[in-house]
Amino acid sequence: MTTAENSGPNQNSEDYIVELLGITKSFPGIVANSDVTLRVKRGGFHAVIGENGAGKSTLLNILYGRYQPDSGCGEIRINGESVTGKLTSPAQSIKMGIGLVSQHYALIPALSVIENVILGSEQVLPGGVLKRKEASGEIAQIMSHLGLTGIDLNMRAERLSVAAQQKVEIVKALYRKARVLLLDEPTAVLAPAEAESLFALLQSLQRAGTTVVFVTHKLREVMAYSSAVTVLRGGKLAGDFITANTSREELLERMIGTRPPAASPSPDIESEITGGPMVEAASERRPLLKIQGATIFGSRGAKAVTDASLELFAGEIVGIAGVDGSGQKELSEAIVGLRTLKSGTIRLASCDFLSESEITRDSVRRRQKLGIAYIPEDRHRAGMILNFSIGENYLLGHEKDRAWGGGVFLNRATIGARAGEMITGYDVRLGTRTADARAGDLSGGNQQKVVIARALDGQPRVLVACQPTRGLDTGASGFVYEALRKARAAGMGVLLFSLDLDEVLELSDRVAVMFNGQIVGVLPHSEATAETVGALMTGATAGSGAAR
Amino acid sequence: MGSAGNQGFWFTALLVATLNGAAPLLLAAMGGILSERAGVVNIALEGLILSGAFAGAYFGQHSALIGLVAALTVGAALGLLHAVLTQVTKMNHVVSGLGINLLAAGATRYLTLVLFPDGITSKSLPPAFYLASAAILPAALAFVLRDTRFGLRLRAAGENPESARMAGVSILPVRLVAVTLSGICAAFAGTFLSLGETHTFSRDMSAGKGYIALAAVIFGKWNPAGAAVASLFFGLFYAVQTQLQIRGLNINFLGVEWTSPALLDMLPYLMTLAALISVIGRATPPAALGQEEGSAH
Repeated sequence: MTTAENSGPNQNSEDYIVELLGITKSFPGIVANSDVTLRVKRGGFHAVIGENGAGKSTLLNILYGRYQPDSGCGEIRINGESVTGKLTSPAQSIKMGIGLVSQHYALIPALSVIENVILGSEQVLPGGVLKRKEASGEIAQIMSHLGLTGIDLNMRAERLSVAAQQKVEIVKALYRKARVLLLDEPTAVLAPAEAESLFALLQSLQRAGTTVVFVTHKLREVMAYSSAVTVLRGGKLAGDFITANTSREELLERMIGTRPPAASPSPDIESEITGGPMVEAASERRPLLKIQGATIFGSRGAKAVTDASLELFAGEIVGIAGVDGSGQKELSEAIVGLRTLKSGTIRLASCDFLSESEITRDSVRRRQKLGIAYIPEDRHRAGMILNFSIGENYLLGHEKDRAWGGGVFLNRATIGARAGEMITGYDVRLGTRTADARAGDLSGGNQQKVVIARALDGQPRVLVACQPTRGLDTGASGFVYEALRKARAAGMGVLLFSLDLDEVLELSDRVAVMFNGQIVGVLPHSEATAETVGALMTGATAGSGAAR
Repeated sequence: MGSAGNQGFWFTALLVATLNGAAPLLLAAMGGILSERAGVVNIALEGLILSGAFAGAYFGQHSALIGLVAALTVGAALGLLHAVLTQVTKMNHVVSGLGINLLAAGATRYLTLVLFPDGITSKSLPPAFYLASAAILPAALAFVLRDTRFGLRLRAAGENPESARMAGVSILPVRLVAVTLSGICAAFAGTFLSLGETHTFSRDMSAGKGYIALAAVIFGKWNPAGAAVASLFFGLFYAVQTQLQIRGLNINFLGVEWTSPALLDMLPYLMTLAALISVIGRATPPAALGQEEGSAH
């Protein structure tokens, strides 16, 4: 496990073009980076790898001046010179030769290609009139150097493909004379062939002297292209390697981390309620939920899930594992009705399991009535309305139901009484507050309890739980685990979408693994280990048909 | 049956009335574009027009030029106020605009009572001055938006401020300048009412022109040329309304006197409403219009 840890014992700092030393960055309620160090060699091809939420993007954004590290925490050096406290905006970093190809804040769709490239670094005549001709000449020259053809500079950026937009972003960085090119998950939205072409371009830039730093969670890219790699996990440094001296397995282990098996948070509950995974009778029973050949497109119009089929039985937890962006989000949204299927069907068994009905085209509300409950991935955006009270949040989705205090006129007394029961039943810690308190004032764990309570108290038959413990501490996570196990014991079918492999392995009766938009394997509890699942997750297993 | 000469007079009168009706809308609409293309909703146009009309009349009693300068100064100050309220104190754009409109309506009424309870007569500026301005301004604004650094940054600020910031642009100064200029344009439109058209100020003389100018911005898809055409179109309805009133035509149908002044007064507003309904869903505003600058993480 100890490899050439690149702690730089006899390197003097002049070998490094960029150094982030002991950086800590916190956002309200979360520490995104904790004492992280990243040193990038001049002319290197440096990968930063980690799971979703590991703090990779935050680190890049600090170097790009978009975020400032917590004051007094750490030092930033560029070309060996300390610039701590000077990178107060992207404009400052751009001046120091740093360019960022961002995942989310890319080109402005309504502006033309040339306008996007020059924005913020415009050359002008007196009076502020743009020198369009000069700029387009310069840009055409950069593009021909890079071998980019077929991009009309006067075209609106929204008409370019995602891959072409990304290349224009690289052009934009080079137009600003960037010496260090940062890329945030550059291949997340690209088809494999486009990704190959992007890396070929980056390699040619590196040969011409540009330093490349890219953030990814794809091990294959790290092994194939990088010269050095920094691993982050949970906002902390989890390893620093020369790529040639490490292996895919070692990096995966550092990325995911392995909790000792004995550290299960509530072992007695597990044996008590489940009595072990319930797989034996599965073949005789009829499935509760049946997904067949589902093909789903993502928000950006790219195919996110291809021909996925999965069966869920009553009284089992099926975990969906996979690295972030493998299509889990789209699949979960399609099951609850937030996203339409391009092709394929979803069927739900009748209550007596004797027949099944197709719900592929049903609305979210209709599916909810039929018994599909949802714990959304993003608590703050999709899970609750933070400005509503706890009672109002608990009512949402049941607001037509008299029994919940809904109807044309809301029954405040019933809402309050039900919320009170829920608060006691789920042990929501209010402190000195009452059920009328703003949901946004609760801690993350207690907010999640309200979301889970709302999903479970509608007596659903299927529970779709997405990242149910994201951002929660161990205690709150334990509560969520217990709630999911109880749901299983009560006969619900639970689909657990999670990026936390330990969580999936611990809770699931079966584990389905997604890679590249496909379900590449479904393993029973007994065969699902960090090794077998991990191999499927990264597409490393031969014969899965999806390994590239 | 009128003679050919009479018909020609009809046409000329309608044309002049159209231009007069359109000029203030067009000038204010250019202000609306400046603000909204930068991402700041500006329903304050109404109050800005009213304030400009008032300042123009009051300070233009001895010299129309002084009145004009004073009006533009007031417009700049109120525009800057709207910019600071929305961008620095992060107030909701509509709330800030509404506040400025109420302030302008209340303050001009009060000041009218205090300063000139018996009315006021100001000097005047030639209508040709306004018509020339209205002809030049859309072209000038189109050039600024398209071909200058300020225009590019302004559009970027209205489409995606966070992307613009990532490209090294500071959004705040761009928006402060844009909304201040917006105030100047709207106040200029206001002086047309007091210095150009009537040589006086009467209370609430803006009469919804700020909102109709905003409708012209939407109808013109946030483009100077489009908004100019829309202003002319809306100006035509003002002209038809006044011409019908002047000529005292009587159209009785189904027992309703359609040409009664009360109904005719509604014409420009009804037509604006109809025009807006026809573009609903097809007009795309600047993508970041009205949004707070990215506090994303």
